[in-house]
Amino acid sequence: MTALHEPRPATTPIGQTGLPLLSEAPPRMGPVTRRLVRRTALTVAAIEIVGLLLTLVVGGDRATAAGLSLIFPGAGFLFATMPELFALTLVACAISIVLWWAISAVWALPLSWLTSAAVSAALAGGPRWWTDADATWGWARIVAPVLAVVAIGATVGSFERRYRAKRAKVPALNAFLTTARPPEPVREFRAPDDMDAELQRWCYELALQPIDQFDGFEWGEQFHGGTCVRYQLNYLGWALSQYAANALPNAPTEIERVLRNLVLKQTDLRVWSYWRTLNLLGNFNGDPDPLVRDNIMFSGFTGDQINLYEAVTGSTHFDEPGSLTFVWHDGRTFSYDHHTWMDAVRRNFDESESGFFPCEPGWAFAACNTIGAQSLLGYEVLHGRPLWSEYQQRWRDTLDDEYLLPDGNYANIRCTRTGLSWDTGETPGGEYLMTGSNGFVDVAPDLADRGRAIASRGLDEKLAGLRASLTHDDDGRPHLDLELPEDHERNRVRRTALGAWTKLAGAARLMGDAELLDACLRAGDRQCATGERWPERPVAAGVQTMAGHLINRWAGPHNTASLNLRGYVAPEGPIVGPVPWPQAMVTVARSTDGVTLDLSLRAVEGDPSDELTVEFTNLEPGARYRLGGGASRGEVAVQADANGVAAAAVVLGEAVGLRLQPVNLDGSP
Amino acid sequence: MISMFLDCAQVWVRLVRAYHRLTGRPQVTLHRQPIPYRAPHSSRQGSVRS
Repeated sequence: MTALHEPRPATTPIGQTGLPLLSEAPPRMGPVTRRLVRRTALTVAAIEIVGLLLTLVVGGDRATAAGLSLIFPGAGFLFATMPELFALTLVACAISIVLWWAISAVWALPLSWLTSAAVSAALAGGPRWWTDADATWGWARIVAPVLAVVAIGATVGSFERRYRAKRAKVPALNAFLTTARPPEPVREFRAPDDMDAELQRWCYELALQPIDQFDGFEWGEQFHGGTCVRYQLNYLGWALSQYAANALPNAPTEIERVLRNLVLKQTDLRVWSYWRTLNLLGNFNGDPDPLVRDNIMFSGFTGDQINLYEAVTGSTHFDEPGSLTFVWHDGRTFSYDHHTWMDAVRRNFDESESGFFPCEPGWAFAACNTIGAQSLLGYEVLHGRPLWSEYQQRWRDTLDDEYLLPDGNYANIRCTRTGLSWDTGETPGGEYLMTGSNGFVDVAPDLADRGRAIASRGLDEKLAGLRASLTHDDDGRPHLDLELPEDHERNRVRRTALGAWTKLAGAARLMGDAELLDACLRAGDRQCATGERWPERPVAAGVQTMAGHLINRWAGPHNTASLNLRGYVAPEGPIVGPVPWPQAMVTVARSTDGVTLDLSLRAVEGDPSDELTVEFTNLEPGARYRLGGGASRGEVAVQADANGVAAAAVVLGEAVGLRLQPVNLDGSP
Repeated sequence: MISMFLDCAQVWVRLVRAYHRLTGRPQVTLHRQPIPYRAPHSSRQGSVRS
């Protein structure tokens, strides 16, 4: 593996336990953001000046109406005695702000603003609905500037209040960080149970249908939120990569096809065609190529997904030229492979003004740029090209200088055209302490530690009540007699408790409490399981919510960070498979000592009474093994041939919890 | 960071829902019909990025 993480030059003090402390005198904004905000302020000032000139110097009803609408959007309608149109302008501006964020319509707000000026000028002096034709409300000359001052004052004031409130927390935070030690998360392997098997089966059904078939995926709008199929594919790919490494390292055949298909589905036109619309609306560019510019929420996320595919399977399928080809409606093709894909991500990073490049045109998210960084890192580990190590310092500087808030949080978004950030409703407060698919663990481990330390403050006490209510079932497993309230999913189509359970289980994992984690997962299963199967959902939640849940559920011992840093490591010990899908599937195949194999198979469409011949490879040539344990009624002798290959018959209904182990000459295990 | 007093994500979801109500289409489905066939205008080969 390439050594990637050089110690970061210490720009801020380090605490006694090695955690980076926060700056006692943090800047209000970084250099790039400051330049953009200054440009935005000058633009607004110029508009205000033009409005004042039209109102005070040019004069006349039309010029005054236009000028007042420039001073404050739609205020000219007040002058023209049309308060309805003033209200309409405010609504249009609010929707414009939403569209600016949602579909990169950066022009929508200026358009609404300028349109209000033009229309109010056109209507001034014309017929009125409620008053005489030439009536005007002179007080609008006062109200418009007052509204402008209030709006600008509220904007600047809210920024300053947030900044000062966060800065005031720094001394206490640093006192805490000086001696704090972040908790060690749960990393132990959690043996898959019946629910895990149901979830695995659902994932396989989603992935193993024909590439151009998407039954069971949730389709809705593809710009933002919980119905974007690209994110469903990403999250499933990440979750299953963990499952492949943790539960199935010694059964690579089926999971390789599952993970490959999840990547290939990203090339379906219905998944990526949203980009051309965004590119057109936000960049005024009709190029549909999803990788050539911006779109890190696709290129970075899926790049990370491809890396993990290779890291857990060893397959270089996507290294082949043209293996990732996008075909547009008119026949144009955009042909990529793993290498050219990652080159495109890196080029976008290089060409960005701030060091982070946009998701939707004009919007650079810290989360997406962290996953983009993960994709460069993972690729470098796998292929040795220094795409990440060459860029790492600039990425880190951007994160620290442009996105870090005084209290250790990071701004979720930044408009790359205006420099503005606000709470868009996507994340609590519009900020987070850690982000990416693993909370900075692979790309900035010191920041991950600091974020975990701050995030876990007081968490132990909060979880204490929950721990106290734990009981144990007859099988000794922890039981939590609790149901959590359901909340709307982001698309507000349905309510689910799964998101709350995922957060609670995440907190238990973060705090290193394996017993509470297990109890939370099982309690969540009891509350949310539907008993349904693909194409319906086995859990009462949307696909993206379920996939997010699986990322936490299957994150031990390997998670996306450790896999990204590890790269591919060939499995040791016996290898099983292939197993015929959809008759059956392997749910566990792992060797902890490089000699024995823990194995579970389950029927999918097959009958539990079906007898299946299972092939083993990578055995000790000529050695004798025995296969038994679990629910099996006896043991099967397995004789490896000179190539280390053997086969054994197993009954599907008795194939959970098997162990294949060598038999010594004296017959002892 | 400034305060916008406007939850863009929630408003967007409601706009999407209103659009689907107007068009009589479901906001979310578990199935997606294949893309309607459109004859290619041309068969240009896009550049291969490297």
